[in-house]
Amino acid sequence: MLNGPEAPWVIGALLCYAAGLAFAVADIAAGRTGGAKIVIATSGGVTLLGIAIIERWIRYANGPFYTLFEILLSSLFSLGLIAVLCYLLAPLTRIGAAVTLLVLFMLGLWTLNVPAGPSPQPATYDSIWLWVHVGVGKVFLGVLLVAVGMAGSLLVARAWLSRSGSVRSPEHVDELSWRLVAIAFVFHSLMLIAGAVWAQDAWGRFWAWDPLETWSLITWLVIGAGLHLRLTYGLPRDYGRLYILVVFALAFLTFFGMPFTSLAPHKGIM
Amino acid sequence: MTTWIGKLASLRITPLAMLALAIGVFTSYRSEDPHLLWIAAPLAALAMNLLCAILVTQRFRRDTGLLMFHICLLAVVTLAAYGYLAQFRGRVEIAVGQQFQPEQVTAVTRGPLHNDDALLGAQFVQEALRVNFAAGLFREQTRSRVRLASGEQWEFGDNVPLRLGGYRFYTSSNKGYSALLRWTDANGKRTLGVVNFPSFPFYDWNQIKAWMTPGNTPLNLQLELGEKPPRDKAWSLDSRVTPAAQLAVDVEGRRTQLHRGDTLRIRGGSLTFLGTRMWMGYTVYFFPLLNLLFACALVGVAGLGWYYLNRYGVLTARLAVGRPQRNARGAAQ
Repeated sequence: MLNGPEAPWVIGALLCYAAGLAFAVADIAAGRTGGAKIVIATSGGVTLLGIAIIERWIRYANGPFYTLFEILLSSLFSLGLIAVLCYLLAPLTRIGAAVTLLVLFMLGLWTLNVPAGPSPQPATYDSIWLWVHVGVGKVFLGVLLVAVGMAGSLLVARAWLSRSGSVRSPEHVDELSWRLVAIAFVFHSLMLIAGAVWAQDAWGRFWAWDPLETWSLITWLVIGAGLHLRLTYGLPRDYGRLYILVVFALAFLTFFGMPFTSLAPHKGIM
Repeated sequence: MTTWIGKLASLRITPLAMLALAIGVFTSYRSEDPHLLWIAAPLAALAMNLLCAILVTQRFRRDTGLLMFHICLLAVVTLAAYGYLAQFRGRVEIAVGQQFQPEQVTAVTRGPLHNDDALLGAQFVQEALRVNFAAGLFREQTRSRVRLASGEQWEFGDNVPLRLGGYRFYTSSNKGYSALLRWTDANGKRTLGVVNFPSFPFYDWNQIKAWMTPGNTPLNLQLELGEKPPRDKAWSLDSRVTPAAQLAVDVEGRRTQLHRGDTLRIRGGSLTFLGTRMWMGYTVYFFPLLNLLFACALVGVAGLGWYYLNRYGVLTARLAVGRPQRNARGAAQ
């Protein structure tokens, strides 16, 4: 269990995310579209996580790139931040807040239970492309998480949402969630490119079919196929929602599974 | 002809080919004996579908960004395919003072179109090198200095390669000590050379190397360094600092300790230990048109971003109210 200097901030952030989750569920139950309380609670969590990252950064003089704890911590922050931005810019996305914040809360519980010690920075990682690669990767996963929240909400509680009046036009929610998938696709492409440039510098090759690269490519192909399937075959709505969940599961596995289960150069690094 | 191009350009093929490629990639990844065809076949189908779509799909005429993305995607696939056919990746170890010799490069991957003679264009002499370690022998910066054929000195290391004749030389984690030896044969002819010992400090406990003299006598050499690298503080492995070292030579069951300048008579001649040097291991990499590949990928994504920006707008209120999705035949869903 986390007990370092980050602990109060991370636990505080988790409580904020939990509050946001409770507000989201209450809104659905009351037949309202997600309210401002969700955004405020999530923003609070993001702020506390930002403080935790800055404090740790100053203490270890390393960006949050290396250990599983750092990757989870920075993901909790960045995914929350992207969700807040989406909730502010496109309020309809708040319909998925219950699922999105549930995923973030579970990610937070995981964060509390991994070793939080530092890891030295290999010299080859002193590259601006690492920042670009990780940055656009976080945007990709964040946007996809908002999309999966919307798709998941409709898939799990469609009948209830329609009955309660939270969603008057599920087709708009579907349309918006697929638009977010398309935006995520652009950022995933950028992540692959920036990652290839970084890998060329760090390991002397831009692509070597290591597990993380391979799973990233599979995720990219599955997203691309999904966008084309919807366009061409008119994917039925429930299948479309399920497809988004599968894409997110693949992306999640790539981000948080592969770097720590393989012996490839990517091990432990994202 | 237009008919079959139109059929090949069908958007209905695209997602199926993409999923087939994803399955091919997954199968190759899981297999212990992957077959190139699992990836090449769906990729070729996808490339053909893409090419035909670019030629005949009217929608691309309307959406420049989308056209840009798909043309660049095709260019990336083509450049990557050509690159893999002409690529080269190898390893080489060069001791301080030694000239890079292409014939010493061990190929790891070599495409059938790679021209091995092109490596002759890379000429340099290894000069100083330095590797810094943090406490715990954690490797930090690596710096290698070489002298080019033009006489210019060049320093590089870690994520900055030496670029010569289209090849990139990256410093690797392999580096260590060499024994500088002089072999004098029965006729008095002298030959100077180095024997590189295993990577240091990773194998500091095992600085042993089997070696055959020019007179065909097998030897076992062991470099005995006076000091162990410190593990409790920062430290540097520096070619300008020569450690106290002895060379133990096992020949025909007999061990002899050689200090710097000592000579050992062996069948066919004599061996003189002239001291130690350092060697650096490099990864040699060649992939043609790499910058163009990168540029195409970047321009392609820019095109896709432009297309979505035009279609959906920035993340504004417009996002919340969608246009009806249209299928390939243009019918609203």
